[in-house]
Amino acid sequence: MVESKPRSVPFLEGINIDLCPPNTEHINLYTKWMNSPQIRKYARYEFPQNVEEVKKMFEPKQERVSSEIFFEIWHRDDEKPIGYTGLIRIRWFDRSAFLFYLIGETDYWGKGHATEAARLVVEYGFNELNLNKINAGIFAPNRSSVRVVEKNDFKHELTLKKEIYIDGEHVDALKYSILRKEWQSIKCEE
Amino acid sequence: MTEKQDIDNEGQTDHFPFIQGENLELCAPNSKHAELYAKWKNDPIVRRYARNVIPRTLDEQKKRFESKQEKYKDHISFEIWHKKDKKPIGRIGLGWIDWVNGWANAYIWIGEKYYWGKNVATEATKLLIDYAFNELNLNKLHGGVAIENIGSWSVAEKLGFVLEGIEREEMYVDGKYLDNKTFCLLKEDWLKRKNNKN
Repeated sequence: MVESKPRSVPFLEGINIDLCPPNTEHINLYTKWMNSPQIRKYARYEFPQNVEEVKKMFEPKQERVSSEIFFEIWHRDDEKPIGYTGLIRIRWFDRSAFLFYLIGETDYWGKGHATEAARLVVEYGFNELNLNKINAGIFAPNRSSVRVVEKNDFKHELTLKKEIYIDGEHVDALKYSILRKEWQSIKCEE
Repeated sequence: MTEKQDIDNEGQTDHFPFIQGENLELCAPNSKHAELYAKWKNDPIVRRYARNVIPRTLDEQKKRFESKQEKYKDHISFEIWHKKDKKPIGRIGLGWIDWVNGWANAYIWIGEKYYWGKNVATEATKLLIDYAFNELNLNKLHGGVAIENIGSWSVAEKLGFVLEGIEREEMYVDGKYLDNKTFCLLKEDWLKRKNNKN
């Protein structure tokens, strides 16, 4: 059996990671992440997902303008996918979207990869998609996720009281956001 | 007049009250009123803050009445029926129902502008809140209101909704980005309020 060398098709290039289009050869890996108790707790996958269902998410769609954009996070040195990121709930009229990110391989937690992925997606959202605002919804207990958006200069916008049911109780959710003009002025300072 | 309004041309009952209020009823949507619903959705003034930015056809509206396969709805809507005037005047409902986390977005529009500022939105919303908490067992309701839509957020405040925060430049209306006031109502606070009043 010949091991096929993993392929990477970078769409956005970073320093430690690249963002690539979803790879249907990695559907099983995505499915593993979505079902993993440790991962799905804060990613809020409340129902089991099978491979066929996940595959369906990535089938070509009829719509010409998408309301979701998905990237695989590819680790450059280790040459493998470690998670995914992207934009959902894109509202083209209001030019806003929600950022999501997930590091599925727990060995890669705490290494700044989600922060880098978020930085790339935000830059893409403002510079290529012409968005005006990028939001992030985070459950209050998920401190490491809060740090990701804070490092990317998002501002805390809302505390949604008792919004999410986790481990038997209703907990608060937080909404963070960054406006295009804020992002641009930070870019200028750099 | 009384009886006639409830009967259509074929002699069938044509009025489906689901929740009884003092001046209003919340009824199951009626496919015979599709034209009226479509008119409201396209009305330049009614749709302004409702963010209907794309023209809606009557066919689209009719399609909404086709029965769906799903066993649990993530969207429940009613027609608001004015009892004294015997006619539908708007729509109200719950969108984005999240059954696991126990919340939904409450929305309302009074399509007949004659009834604006006459407290009908307050009464209808009160009926919807009771339904959401006492029948559906939801824990929380959301209401998002454009900051300039004063009529709507005064209804929210009157009913005990609490301001959660302000979303910056959240929606694009009439050529500019508007902030959005986000309100919520927790079931526990609603019950407390009710008990205090009794």
